[in-house]
Amino acid sequence: MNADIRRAGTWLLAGTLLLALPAREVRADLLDEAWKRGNDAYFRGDFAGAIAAYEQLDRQNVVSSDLYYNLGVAHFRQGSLGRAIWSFERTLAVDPDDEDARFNLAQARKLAERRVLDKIESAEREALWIRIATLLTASTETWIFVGLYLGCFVLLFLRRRAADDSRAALTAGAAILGTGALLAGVLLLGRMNLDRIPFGIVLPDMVAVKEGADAAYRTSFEVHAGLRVRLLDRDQDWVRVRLANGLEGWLRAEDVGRL
Amino acid sequence: MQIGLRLSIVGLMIGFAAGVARAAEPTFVARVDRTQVGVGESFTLEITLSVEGGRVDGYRPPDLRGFRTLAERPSQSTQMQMGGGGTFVRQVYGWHYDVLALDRGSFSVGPARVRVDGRELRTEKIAIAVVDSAQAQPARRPGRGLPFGIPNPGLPFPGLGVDNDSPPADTQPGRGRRNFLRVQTNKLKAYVGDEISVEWSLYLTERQDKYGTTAEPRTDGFWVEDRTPASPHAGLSLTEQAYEGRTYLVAPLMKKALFPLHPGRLTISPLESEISRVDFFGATLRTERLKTEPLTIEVLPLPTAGQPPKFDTSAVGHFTLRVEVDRDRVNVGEAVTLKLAISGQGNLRKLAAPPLPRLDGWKAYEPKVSVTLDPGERVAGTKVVEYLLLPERAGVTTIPPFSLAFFDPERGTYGSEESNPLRIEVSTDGSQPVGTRPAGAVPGTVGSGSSAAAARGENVLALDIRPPRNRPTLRRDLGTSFYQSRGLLLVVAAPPLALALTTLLAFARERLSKETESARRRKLRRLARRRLRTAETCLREGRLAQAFGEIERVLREFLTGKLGTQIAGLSWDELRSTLAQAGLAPPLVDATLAALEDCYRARFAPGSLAAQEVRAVRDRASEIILQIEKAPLRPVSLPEVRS
Repeated sequence: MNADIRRAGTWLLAGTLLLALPAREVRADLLDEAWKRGNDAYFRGDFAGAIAAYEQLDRQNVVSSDLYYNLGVAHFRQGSLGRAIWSFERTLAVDPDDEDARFNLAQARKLAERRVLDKIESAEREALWIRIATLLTASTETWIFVGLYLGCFVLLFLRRRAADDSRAALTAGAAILGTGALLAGVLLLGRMNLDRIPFGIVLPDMVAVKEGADAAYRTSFEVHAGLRVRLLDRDQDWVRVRLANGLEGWLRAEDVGRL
Repeated sequence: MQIGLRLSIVGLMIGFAAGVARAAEPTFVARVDRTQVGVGESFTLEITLSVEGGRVDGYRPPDLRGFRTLAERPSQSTQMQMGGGGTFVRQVYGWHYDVLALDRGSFSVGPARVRVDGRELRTEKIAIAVVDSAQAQPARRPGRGLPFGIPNPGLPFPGLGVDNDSPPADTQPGRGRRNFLRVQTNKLKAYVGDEISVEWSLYLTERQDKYGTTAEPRTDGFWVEDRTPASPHAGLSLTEQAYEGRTYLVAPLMKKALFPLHPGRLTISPLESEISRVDFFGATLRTERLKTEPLTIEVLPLPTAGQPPKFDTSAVGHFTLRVEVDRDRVNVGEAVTLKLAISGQGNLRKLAAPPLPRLDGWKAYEPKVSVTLDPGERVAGTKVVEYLLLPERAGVTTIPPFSLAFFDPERGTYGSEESNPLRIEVSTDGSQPVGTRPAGAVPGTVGSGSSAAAARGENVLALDIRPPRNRPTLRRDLGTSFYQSRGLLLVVAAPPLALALTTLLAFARERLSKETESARRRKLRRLARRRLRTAETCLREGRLAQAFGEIERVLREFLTGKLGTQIAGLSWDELRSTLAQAGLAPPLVDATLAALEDCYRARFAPGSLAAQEVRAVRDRASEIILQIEKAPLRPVSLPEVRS
């Protein structure tokens, strides 16, 4: 009977991990083909073709710092500084240690500021919980949480079958891992909450921020490529944005790249 | 000398007396700038009342039957005359009418009337001959190059390019005094790309409480620039104006500058609105729907004679071009901003700026374009295109002149503007100070690309970004993918569920493994059935002794299980006593012992029994087992029995 229970538990865990894989997984060879096509176009000097291939991958919800990075480089070569900045920001969101992306982002911002610098007066510092939730990347937080969480439950399973003298040690281990999983889970929840109020990057060189979700509304102020804004709301093709100093207005959704 | 002086004094006195007499009499006259006009042309009617003091009221405009009043402008002025008798003040009232001749024939401007101190004055009737346009006489308008209403002969199309003072074309039919919408345009015929100003106004006979637009005019085929002046307050801004001799409350609704995009007859659909009055509580008392007439504009193609190749049809108007860089001496990797400003009157938003030529050794980024329009009647302002240029190597570069060709609709000719070439010096050693000298006026030279750095053999690496990654396969971030998928939720939910399930299973198993009364009964029943089946098999095979052995075993095992104590080794008396103590009924005790004795006997004398007897014993044993099963027994212990 004990063997049956063990088998059932093992199958359950294996099934969980299988189900946990991302849904609608795209075939890896098709992704690699588009990736190669984009790179070939770039090195031929066909930046528009490269962007088209990279954006095809992006539309398939492929999360890859390499993809965002190359997209940023291609946009930079194309002269689209706003989109280049957005792509490098996305790269760093996935991999904050990406030195190349950090360097290129600084270069792109430097050039964008040569045109116009959006100086946000009385900009508020980001809330503490946002700074804590974004200490680590989403990927790192996810793996830490999953590892601690599953580890905690593995110890709890082992404890059930363990001899009396080793049960105390297993209980203590499960408690430590459980506490760690709880803290990692709080970070992850914070990030999930942050994802509900996402940020974006202004893409065109200059765009008028309107008082309402229509071009007919009065222009409140203007912003320029590369400015980071918070996305608050959406009304069909328009998004409500808030600047760091609390100023708000509406932009066309296509003019903001969501991070 | 004295005679002369006297004569002068007498003359002055006579003159003054005559003047006083003339001033005392009010004058009320009507004048037109011409008495013969062409069909579709306008003339000016001016009515003037000059009066010294007195009450003026009851002005009634002239009868303009057969004409259409395009505009009416009342005026009032005061003239002071100082002379020998003191100061004389004269009030001059004027009514200026712009009148359009509609049909050929003889018409008359009827007398205007006014009351001065209760006395009615009338102007003379004026006869106007309306002839074909070609025969019309010029207007008597001093100080103007061209007579009012006459097409500019310098223009390629007569009637095109109406001058600024001309009245706006009005598509509204004549009407009585009622509420209406009015659309006015400054021209009904224009070139492709030329500006047409269209204004919509609301004319009210009395104030209304609500106004709403139900259908905006469609302007298909035009590039539209909204020129509606910003209203300082919400709602309509009403002013009192005269129109066709009547006074209205007029509110400007909107004003647009339209630029035709292609030749042909383009129609602007009507503006439709609703006005209504409401009562004290806000309930609608009366609603009126108003609508303008559609407005058709005849759009002419641009002349092909003299048209530059690949001409941009939005470049219609007057433009000037200015190009400058923010510095003309930079180091490699330092950005330069090239600013191209196009100023003038025309469709600046649509106007395509001259492209930046390819510059060797420079990287150019997407230009930043901004348009600033000046307030005013016409669409005019400045379009600024800023290119960000990044030098990649040292040398002297000359940016060739920019050229902009445009069509002047007033002259009917093509013109062009050209900027100066720009010279920029790029060095490598970082010694160039940030140039503050505007380079727009720097005379251009063709850049040779030679540089001191190149001569020294330096390899200058300009500011740039790092290259893309060229891995053979795409490296994906599974962690973030996993975080964004529903798999994370499953991972969170599955372990506690698995733990709960296994705990539940273990609990069930533990419950099942416990030796409960019912479980013991079930076990005994299973055992008994098995033994009896074995006995039946033995019976069929003729092994009668074994069959009895099995029946005895089943009885003993059943009793052992039922009593909870081992009965093997007990004498017949001890067994009887044990069964009695357990609470078994005496007849059942007797029957049980009898069955056991039969089995015992048969085991040791197998030849003395027939198969029928074995079956009978088996059936009795089954019956006994059934009865013992149902009987409520209490457990007994062997020492207790033996004592």
